[in-house]
Amino acid sequence: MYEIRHREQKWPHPIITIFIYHFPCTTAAAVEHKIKDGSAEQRDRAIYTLKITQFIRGQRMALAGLRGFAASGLAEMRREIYDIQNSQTQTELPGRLVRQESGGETGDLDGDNVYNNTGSVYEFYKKVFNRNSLDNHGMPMVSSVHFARDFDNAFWNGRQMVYGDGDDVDFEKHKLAELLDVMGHEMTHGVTNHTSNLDYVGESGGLNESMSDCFGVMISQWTSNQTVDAAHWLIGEGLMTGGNALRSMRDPGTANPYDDQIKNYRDYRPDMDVHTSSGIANYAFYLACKSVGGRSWEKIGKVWYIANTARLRHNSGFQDAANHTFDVAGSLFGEGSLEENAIFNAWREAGIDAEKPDLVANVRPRIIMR
Amino acid sequence: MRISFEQSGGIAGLSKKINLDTNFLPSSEVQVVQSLINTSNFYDLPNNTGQPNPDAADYLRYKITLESDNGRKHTVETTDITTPAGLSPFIGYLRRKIQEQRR
Ligand SMILES: [Zn+2]
Repeated sequence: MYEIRHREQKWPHPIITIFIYHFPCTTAAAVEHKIKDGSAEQRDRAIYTLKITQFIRGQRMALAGLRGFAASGLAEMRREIYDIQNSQTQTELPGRLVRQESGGETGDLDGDNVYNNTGSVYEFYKKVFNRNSLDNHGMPMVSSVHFARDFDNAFWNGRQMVYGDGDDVDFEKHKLAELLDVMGHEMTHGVTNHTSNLDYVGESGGLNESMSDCFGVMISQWTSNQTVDAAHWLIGEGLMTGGNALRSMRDPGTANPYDDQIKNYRDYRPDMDVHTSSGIANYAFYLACKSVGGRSWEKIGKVWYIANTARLRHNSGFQDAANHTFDVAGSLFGEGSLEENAIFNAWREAGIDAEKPDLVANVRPRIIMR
Repeated sequence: MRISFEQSGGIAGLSKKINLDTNFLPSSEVQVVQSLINTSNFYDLPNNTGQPNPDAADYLRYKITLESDNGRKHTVETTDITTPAGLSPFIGYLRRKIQEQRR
């Protein structure tokens, strides 16, 4: 069965990366040679072969997501919950182990909520995308609760999730640990680290943030089997004492009085916080989901998953995200399909015209269908 | 002594700021502040405590500036990920001051 591995990102050439899973190295090298040095006709044929391969690949991935769960179940899920006991010192993380896989309830509200939410996020990635934990190799999912005192934040430190209690001044107490989309958001940072590894700065940082919001909101919707029309499209609903939510994907910039998210690329500035520029891609995701209808994770979510895990690279920007989601939709659902059009129009509303991505470095693909 | 403290980033991407002048704090609190500054070796800390793990996300960023009455000034920028252990209690105190102000 096809598996996505983060090693993929280390291959020097995207063509080799794509072919290595389907053909012996010699064949991949031959195709690459034809694309780089062959005649125009050889080049076109090679690129056409590549397009077909991608189509098959997209289908395999989609099918793998459906087949995998029945075969393997959730047996590999490993959760670990620690109590950092109000320390704000990184070197003391993770803290005291209070609950691990199959262990009984701790009686600590935050610890038990985080344990349950971790399970829901794992289940979502496993059942919907056949992904086995953050690294797809079953790595333990570690969280620490009670970080610092009255701490208004939850973060991913590159290895684990860390939760504050909330101070009841800006954040309601215990809400960070209670909200499933917050856990989905943090754990998706781990998934992104192991796949596209989008740099946490500039446009790639905004995309990284948006991936976390998109999957966070999808996980909430999936858990309650909500349609795109029934969902509220908020991130962190009820978390802020002075506002509705942290962010709104339906209408970025309106979730609370401090919300300054943008929803159009023309408003982007490189010095923006990554949680501000993420609104561009959040809005595109929302619009595409709404226009296709049904359930977010079934179609547009699948496209976003493939883009984050197999297409985007550490320095990808919003244009790359538009191009690749558009192209993946074409591969999965067909060129000119409802889904492909929905994605094109959604990005256009967010200020970006998607183009066919340049899949071959240094060579402009001139695709002739024969 | 004047203290300026700024907190930004985090999962919410919110910025919060407070300015304190120890001349207007009760003397017992001034002693607390002084001992927090001493514990952190504040004036020996670099202006920036370093880049967080590039894989990390949603951490808070902090910027602390102290300016004594005789004009000595020092700024330290740090994050949830890179805060030295000795500086954590001082940041905890400054975060509480922001909470008091906003309550
Ligand atoms: Zn985030």
